[in-house]
Amino acid sequence: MIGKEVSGTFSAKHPVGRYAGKGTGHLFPERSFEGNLMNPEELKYNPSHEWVGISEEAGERIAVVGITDFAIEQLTDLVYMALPTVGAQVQAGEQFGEVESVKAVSSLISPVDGQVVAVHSELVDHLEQLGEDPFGKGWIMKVKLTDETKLQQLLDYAAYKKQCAEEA
Amino acid sequence: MHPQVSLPMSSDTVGFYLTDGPRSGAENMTCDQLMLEQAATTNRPLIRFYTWMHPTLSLGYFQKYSDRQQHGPSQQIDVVRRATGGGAIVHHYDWTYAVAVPTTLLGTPTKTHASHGASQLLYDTVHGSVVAWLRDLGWDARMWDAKCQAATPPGLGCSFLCFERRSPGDIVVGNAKVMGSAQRRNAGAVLQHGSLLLQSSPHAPSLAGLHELCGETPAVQQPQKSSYEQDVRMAAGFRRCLVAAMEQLLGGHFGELSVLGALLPEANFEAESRFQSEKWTRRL
Repeated sequence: MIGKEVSGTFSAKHPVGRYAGKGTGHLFPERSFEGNLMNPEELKYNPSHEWVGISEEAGERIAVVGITDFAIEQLTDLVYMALPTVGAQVQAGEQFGEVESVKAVSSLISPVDGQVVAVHSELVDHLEQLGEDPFGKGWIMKVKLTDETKLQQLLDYAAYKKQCAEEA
Repeated sequence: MHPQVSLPMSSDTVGFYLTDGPRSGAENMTCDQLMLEQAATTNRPLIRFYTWMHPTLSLGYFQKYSDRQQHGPSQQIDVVRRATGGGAIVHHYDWTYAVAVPTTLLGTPTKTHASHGASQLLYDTVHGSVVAWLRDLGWDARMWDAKCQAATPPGLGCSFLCFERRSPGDIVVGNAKVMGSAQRRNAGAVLQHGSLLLQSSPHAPSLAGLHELCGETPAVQQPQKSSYEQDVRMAAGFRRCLVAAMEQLLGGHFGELSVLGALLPEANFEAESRFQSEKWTRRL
């Protein structure tokens, strides 16, 4: 199909309230991510400005993914966001969601391979959280990793800051 | 799928452009999407100028279909959903363009994703060239800027119609917006789609186009109401100005193509396209 959506599993601002239930979506409801601030210096980064932090949860390696303060500042006024659904498979380098600023729809690119186990679905109605707390309450999704080798291809903090300086 | 067409290449050719149409809304949106995908895979920028077979309402990517109810004059015309953001556009008496540029050509350090600054540069390049061209023709055109933004009445930023919204970079004559553009940024390429409003349409009567704005602004040199022949010449001027701006931005020549198959060999309107489907159009 021409122009097929990458995953076809997005939920956007308006459908979320109607179809996806309220609050944070979780594949495993017992898990709860409180949006604690992650230390940017310990994270890995996509060149396309998504961050990823790794944690252990119930014996599994879980990646928490968001977008950086630099990207949010560059995008300026965000108006809509579309997120993946819990259970979807994501692949490193492929689109997992979308965000619209005043002039542009931009793809969100997954930094990891795996299955989405939680989505911060409240975010689509509270986009201000992305700007206020991009490394905490602005988290976007949690992914159960299937291939950790992909993490080695990501930028560390120093390399990412260097890239931002070049782009600014 | 089209048969292989040889491309007019010279040593400094960086991309190609085509004047196309009229086509249906779904076909036009399919072409835009293919341009985005092809620019990323071939590393070659493309420009398409196009017209519409019927008056068509194009919805922005994230607009709600039900918001269409708010706008009575466009209820009966065709509707399609774009891949780009922004507000709805009534394509009737307008000139539409799409530009797709590989991120590698936009000076992006990562070579994988267009930086926001580079995408903004593309936007400013196209709009800046059109402002200069309109001013040469006598319209008092300018870009809407942050100072104007501060004086924008509340609510203008979220009107249903793109041309009733105002944001920095929009092209205005007086207070009337005559050109707006929006982008889709993917890994690998940026698509920019825009429309220059020539004349008011009965399907969007609240909007004035260039024809209505003749003589109503303190123009540098008063433009005259144009005839069909003048419109044809103006369309050619619009294309030249935009192509020249892209050539300057990317430092090379754009070759002119005469058939869609040369620009987009994968275009096949008999194949399933999401832009034809009600599911896509009404997805929100």
